[in-house]
Amino acid sequence: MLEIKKLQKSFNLDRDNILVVFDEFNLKIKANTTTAIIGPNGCGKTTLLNLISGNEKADNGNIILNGIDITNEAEEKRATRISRVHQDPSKSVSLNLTVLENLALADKKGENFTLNKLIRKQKKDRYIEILKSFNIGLENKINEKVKFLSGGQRQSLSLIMACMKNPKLLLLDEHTAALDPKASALVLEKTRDLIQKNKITTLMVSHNIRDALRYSDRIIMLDSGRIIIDRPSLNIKESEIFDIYKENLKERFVS
Amino acid sequence: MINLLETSIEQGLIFAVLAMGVMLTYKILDIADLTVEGSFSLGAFVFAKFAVSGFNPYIATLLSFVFGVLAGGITSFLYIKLKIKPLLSGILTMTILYSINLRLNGKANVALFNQQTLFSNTSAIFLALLIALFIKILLDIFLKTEIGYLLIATGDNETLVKSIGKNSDSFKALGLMLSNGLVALSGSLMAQYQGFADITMGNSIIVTALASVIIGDSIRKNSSLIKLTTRSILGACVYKIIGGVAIELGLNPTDLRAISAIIVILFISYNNFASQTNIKKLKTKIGGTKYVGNKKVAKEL
Repeated sequence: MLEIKKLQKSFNLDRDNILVVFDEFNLKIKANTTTAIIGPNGCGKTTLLNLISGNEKADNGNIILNGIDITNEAEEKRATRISRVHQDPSKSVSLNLTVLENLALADKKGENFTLNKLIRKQKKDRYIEILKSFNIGLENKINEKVKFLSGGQRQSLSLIMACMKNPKLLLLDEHTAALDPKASALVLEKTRDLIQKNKITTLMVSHNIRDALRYSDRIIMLDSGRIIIDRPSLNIKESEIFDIYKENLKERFVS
Repeated sequence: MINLLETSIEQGLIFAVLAMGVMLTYKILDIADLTVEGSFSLGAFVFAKFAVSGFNPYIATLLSFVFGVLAGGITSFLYIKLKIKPLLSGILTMTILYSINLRLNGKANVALFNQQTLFSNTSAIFLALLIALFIKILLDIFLKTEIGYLLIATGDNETLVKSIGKNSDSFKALGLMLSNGLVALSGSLMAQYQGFADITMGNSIIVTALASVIIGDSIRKNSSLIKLTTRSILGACVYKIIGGVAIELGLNPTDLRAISAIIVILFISYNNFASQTNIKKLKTKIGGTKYVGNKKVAKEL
């Protein structure tokens, strides 16, 4: 379970201007659920993921994962429990290494790195099994450098790497936004399968309201760092979200 | 002519150690590290210091490597802990090393003709080849280890290194230290080979090293079968042969610096433009010869 308590974060734009993104922000995410976070640009979606993953430091407040306060942990320490897939398909993989080498690196996550050989035969067979079960033909490309893979294949590989060591929390940062519609649909399907199979608590940020509704259990809409919708995904229609979205935008422009 | 070729290859193999060191930072970590300008002569002066004090040449050579590692440590400290840009960190360390090098023996030139060196009783080409191959094999093995792969990943994508729970800074430091260790070792070997350590030895050595790495890179550019270490060795030898031929053709040894820089310019620009022409060729292939002159069609393709 993820618990965010009284989170505070602001950025210094310049000497006189301070942008407050979160002020006393609270959120609880149940274990083994998928929560989608939507909202207009600048509402704090990505900042929230950055604060949870440790990429940004919170000014105040606590982030508690499975009972452990991780607020002051360094990003690389949190990474042993929290996995993240970025929007840019090149950001979660090493382009100059092969598929196999990337998987082997991800498989060592959180462990000590030694002077032993990284790629070992018995492990290689396991990686091929994992790729086969993902069923998009990556098992035939294990010795290919990742830079020669398509965006969809890279993002699939990123997902497999992120879930390899069963993270306590998976952060998906608009991970299909850079893909074409077909690849995006495929990656989302595969994401759902993987999450369900491994029972991973997931927080996904999306710009696509339809996808957010379809692939989540709970939907949260943020606006200027506040929660304006928080409902089970089954209980809300796309049109309803659009209406609230428009209303809020209007309010903002009027004020 | 044969004599020229032999000398060029001997020096090429000694510079191969330098090239492999610089390859670690320039190719793998993607850092242009200027520390090498100081650590190359540091290696030479450390050897001179210990050899003159009566140390065994093997131990003195090993100590050169160790001091090179320390020099890399200074740059890492400036770059990682004090957040000074890598280029400037290298320049600062190099400047510090200039004074240290002069302090070490109290003079700018130390003759080693009367000292026992690694090259004293062996064929130079044989020993240089042995050392270059030994280091190549060690590096090849290292780059296949878990830590070796993290070094590669650090140069490629720091976000990934963080996501697997590691701090990429440690691996940058490791790369810089290992690299400068090898550069100092190369400097020590060069001093032993030529029979003296000199403060100017390290001047523009980065250009020599880059020229070697870049020439090595251009050999069968797209073949993944040739390892980076092999490329460095071949590149250093080809570079030295080009230099040797240039002198044979009547150029002054002092012209060599300009030639080195021109080699680097030529090879880098060749590599930059070669990839563009490849795309053009591909477009022509797909579009058919008929449309070659038609810019609009080429763009669509």
